[in-house]
Formats: sequence, C-alpha cells, structure tokens
Amino acid sequence: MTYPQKVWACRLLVCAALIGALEAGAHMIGAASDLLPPPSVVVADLPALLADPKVELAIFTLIKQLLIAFACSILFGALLGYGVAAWQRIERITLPIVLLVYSIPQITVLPVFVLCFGLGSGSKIAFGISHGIFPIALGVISGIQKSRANPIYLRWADSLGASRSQKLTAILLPQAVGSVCTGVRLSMATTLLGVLLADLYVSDNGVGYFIKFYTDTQQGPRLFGLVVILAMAAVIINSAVGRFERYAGRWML
Amino acid sequence: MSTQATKDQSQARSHFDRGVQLGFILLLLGLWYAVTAFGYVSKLLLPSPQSVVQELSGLLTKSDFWFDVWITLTSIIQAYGLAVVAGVVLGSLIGQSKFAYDVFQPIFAGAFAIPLIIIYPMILYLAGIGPLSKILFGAIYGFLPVALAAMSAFANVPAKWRRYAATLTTNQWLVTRRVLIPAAIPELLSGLRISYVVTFASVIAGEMIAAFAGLGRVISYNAEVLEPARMYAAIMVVIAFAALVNSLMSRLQPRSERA
Repeated sequence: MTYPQKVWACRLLVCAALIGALEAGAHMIGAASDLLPPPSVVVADLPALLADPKVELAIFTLIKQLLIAFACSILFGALLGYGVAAWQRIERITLPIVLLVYSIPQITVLPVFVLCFGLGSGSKIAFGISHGIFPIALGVISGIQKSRANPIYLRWADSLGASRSQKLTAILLPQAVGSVCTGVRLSMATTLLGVLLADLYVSDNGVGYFIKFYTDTQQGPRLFGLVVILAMAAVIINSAVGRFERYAGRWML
Repeated sequence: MSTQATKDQSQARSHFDRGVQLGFILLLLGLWYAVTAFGYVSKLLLPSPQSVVQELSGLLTKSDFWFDVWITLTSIIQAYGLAVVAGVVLGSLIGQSKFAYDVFQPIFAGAFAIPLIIIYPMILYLAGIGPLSKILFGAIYGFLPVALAAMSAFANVPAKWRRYAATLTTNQWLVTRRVLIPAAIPELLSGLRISYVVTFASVIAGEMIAAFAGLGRVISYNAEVLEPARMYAAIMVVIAFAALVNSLMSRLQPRSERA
C-alpha cells in the first residue's frame, strides 16, 4: 500500500469507528433513543425526510440565500479589500478600523439586522454577507501586501521590459492569489454560518425552523437527518473550494 | 542622526494616522446623533446616542445586569478552558507524528467547516437550558481551532531541530520543553486567539437563541420587547469586552506576528 492509500484507509477507519461508537452508544441508551437515534435509523429515515416538500423547499431556499450572500461577499469583500489596501497611506489609517469591526462578535447585532431587513430572506442574506465579507477583504489585503513586499520581482519585470498588463498578470496577481483563495474558502464557511444563525434566530419555515421543530417534537431521526445533510453539504462545499484553492495555487508565484 | 530623523518622521505620521482614525469615529458618532436628532431613522432601528448612554448607565447600576454579566463571563471562561486544554493535548499528540497528522487534520478541518450551530438545539435538549448547554457548545466549537493549530504547530517543527536536539540529549521531556514547545508557540497562539473569538460568539449565540440569563439573553430580550436603546447598550458592553480581551491577546503575540 502506498502512503496516501494508507492515510485514506486510516481516515476511513477513524470515521467508521466514530459512526460505530455512535451506533453502539445509541443502542445502549435504548429508550431515550428517540432523541439520540442510532445512525442506521437516521439514514433509513433520510428518504422520508427529503420527500417532505416543505423541507425540500427550506433546503433550496437556504442554498439560494447562501449563494446570493456568497456572491455579494466576494464582490463587496474584494472592493473593500482593494479600497483599503490599494494605497498604503489609506491602508495605514483604515486597516485598524476594519480589524476593529471584524473583532466584534457579530452575533450581537443580529437583532439589528432583523429590524432592518425584516423576517424574510433579506436579513439572512445580509447577515451571511456581514460574516462573509471580512475573510475576503482580509485575504485581498494580505495578497496586495504580499505583492508589495517583494518589489524585486517588479524591478526584474521592468528590466525585461514588461508592459503594465504583463506585470499585473505575471507578477502582482500570482503573488496575491494564495491569500485571496484562503479568504474565499474561509468566507464560504462563515457565510453559511451567518445565514444559518439568522435562520435559527428568526426561524420562519427555513431550515432553522425545522431544526427547532424536530427538536421540540423529539423527532430525533428527522433532526439528525437534517443535521447530516447540512454537515455533508458544508464539508463538500469546503473541500470543493479547497480544491479550487489548490488548483489556483499552481498559478502562484 | 538620520535614523533619529526618520524615527521622528514615522512617529509624526503615526500620530497623524491616529488623529484621522479618531476623527473618523467622531464623524460616525456625529452622523449617528444628526440622523436621530432630525428624525431620518425610526427610533426602533436606531435610538439616539443620548438614550443609549442613559440606558447604559442605567444597566451598569442594576444588580440584575451584573448577574447576567457574571453568568456570561463564567460560561465563557469554563468553555474556553475546556476547549484549550482538550485542543492542546489532543493536537500536540497528533502533531507528533506525520502519519497521524495526515489522517486527522482533514477530519478536524472538515468538522470546523460545519456550522456547528445546527447541533445547538440538540445540546440544549441534552444539557438543559442553563449555562451548561452554552459551555458545552462553546467548548466544542472552540476546541477545533485550538486542536488544528496545535497539530500543525507541532507537525511544522523543522525535522532538523528535532535531530539536532536528539544529538544533544536523550531526555524527551527536555526536548519537548526547550525545543518543541517554543517552536510551536507562535502558531499555537493564533489558534488560541481564533478559539477565543469563536467560543465567545458561540456562548453569546447560545444565550440569544435560548437562555434564562446572560448578556446574549439581555440583547435578544430587549430586541423582542422593542427596547432598542437598552439593546444597543448591552451590545456596547459585549463589544467593549470583546475588544478589551482581543487587545490583551494581541499583546501576548510577539510584535512580528501581530495582525
């Protein structure tokens, strides 16, 4: 077995052991397993959960909100990052302010978002953006800082007679791409968190509502089915963005 | 002579920057005052700064509020303590071996990408509506970044240094104390910082969604009963506290590592 195969085998073994422990634990608790069902029951219940049109609608709505919020985060985050870091004088003044705002636990202002944007999709998208915008902006800022830190590459390009666009595509962007992609990956996770937080707080027919509803009515298999779907979606999205990050990394200087 | 001149110049420039930043914040406060004084925004959305300050001084003199602060503080401290101890122990053990690192790192990184707030209702059900559910939730969420930082910090200690230490001594404890831990600390500290932010936000989030007491509860309660001035006052307290601890933590990091 090659080394990567061995690593994968062990990784699967660890996951299987965790699932096995959950299964055994749930069977041991026995009667209380309505709320802590064994994984096999959860999986068996998945088709029924997905057949519920209301749950389906909630999941699709969540995906729609997530994508809109993510797109806006990338756009606004890139603009914010560029605006802060494009000129060093401005950066020295504005960067501490951006970091200060970023360090505020945003969950505290969630009620303000609900008051401003209402109970519908608006507050969820807006709260997702407020979570997603900062990782992108900070990624762009540190990318620009990196490409500024090595003026030697630019002088080298100048000595070879590179044009402005050549310098941009061959020197400046490749140096920035690593931090920007890390920002994009982090932003995806935080945007999803923001949307779900707002969804759980307001809970009107969204995924958050069903999570609360299934907990309150002690429908363990349904609750865990929903949690498994969301967790899988988060892991898949994260690894997809991570793959894109590695792919873009080949362009890196 | 010339170094002194550049030093003076950069000092003058940083004073200027501080001045502009202060001016910006004052401008925002002025805007806030003007917008509310002339009635451009509903009082429900944005109460006037005077009313928020009034509510703030009211809150700070009430013993009920200090009880909420006490509940939140003790919850955060317990959750963060659990997260740090578990994360550092497990992470440093995994980071010792490259194979263990390769196996476990993607699992922990994947788990950290999951918005764990979706399991909060279940924790609430198991641990009850009291502080324990917030402590558990904050500890689980804060554990992941510490473990990730610890395993990568220990895995990234250059093999050269380990070999060099091995030529000097066979005492493994000495190697750990004098070589591995000092080498791991910078990366570990940034993980501890992320973990603090995550734990703090998780505890507050838990209190906002369901609790009888705590600062998060004060915020969400006053939002529900439409007391925006009091809600903003409580938000100010949370922000002030977060900013205070954040600046303390950044002082722990060596200068070159600071953001």
